[in-house]
Amino acid sequence: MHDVRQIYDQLGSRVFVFAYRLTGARAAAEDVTQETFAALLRGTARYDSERGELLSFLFGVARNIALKRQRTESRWLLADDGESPCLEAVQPAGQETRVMVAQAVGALPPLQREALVLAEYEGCTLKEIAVIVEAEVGTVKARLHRARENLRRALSPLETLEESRR
Amino acid sequence: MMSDRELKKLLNEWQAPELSPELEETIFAGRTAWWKWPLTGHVRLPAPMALAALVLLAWSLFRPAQPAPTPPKEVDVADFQPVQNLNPRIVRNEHAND
Repeated sequence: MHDVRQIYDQLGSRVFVFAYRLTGARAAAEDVTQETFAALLRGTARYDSERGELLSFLFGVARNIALKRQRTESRWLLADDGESPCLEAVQPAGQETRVMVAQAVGALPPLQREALVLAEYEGCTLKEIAVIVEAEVGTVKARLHRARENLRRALSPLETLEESRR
Repeated sequence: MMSDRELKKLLNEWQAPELSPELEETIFAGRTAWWKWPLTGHVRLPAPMALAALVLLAWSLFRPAQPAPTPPKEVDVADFQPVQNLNPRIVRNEHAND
């Protein structure tokens, strides 16, 4: 248990932030973080140093827990290709940029979203993401490309707004 | 079209909240030492096994009592007593004088 507490002290906030960006809600992120470390304490999730960094392992556990919760709650469809049906352009009027970015990322299909969060916010390489999400590097690359394209489209009103301010 | 750099700049606008200190307590407070397990631990048991255990327990508690077999009594020399009222009866063989 002592080791798990040390891991939590070092990496707990990273897992929480990752879970927050995956789920888009503080309470859900706390639940995912709690379940991730509970799995370590129970021994149901075992870290193998040969399979990568400890943080990547924790991201993988958190990602699986978050996906399982989302499947149970039927919030997300597990489509990873094409455009999300709910991914409309954000409405900049009266909203802060950060809120609009959060909405746009939150509207991405989950597999695109996790790839984007890992690449853009956690600084993971394609290979690391592939290990975390248990997919081929090529698949991750395609998901990431689609995620960025979807975000560019969704966030284009912000770009227009920025240009008009200049 | 928005460049990668511009997109990255926009994405960085979204900051995550801080991790709540209470979460650590929630995660680790409920954990007990292994030696406390016999007092506070619990076991998840599949329902068929639990039912079978209950049936066995009920049968062992309420089964009809069977009389215990009595062990054969050992005979001792002290058990032999002299005959109190000796009343001998002589039986003769009817062909004895033939």
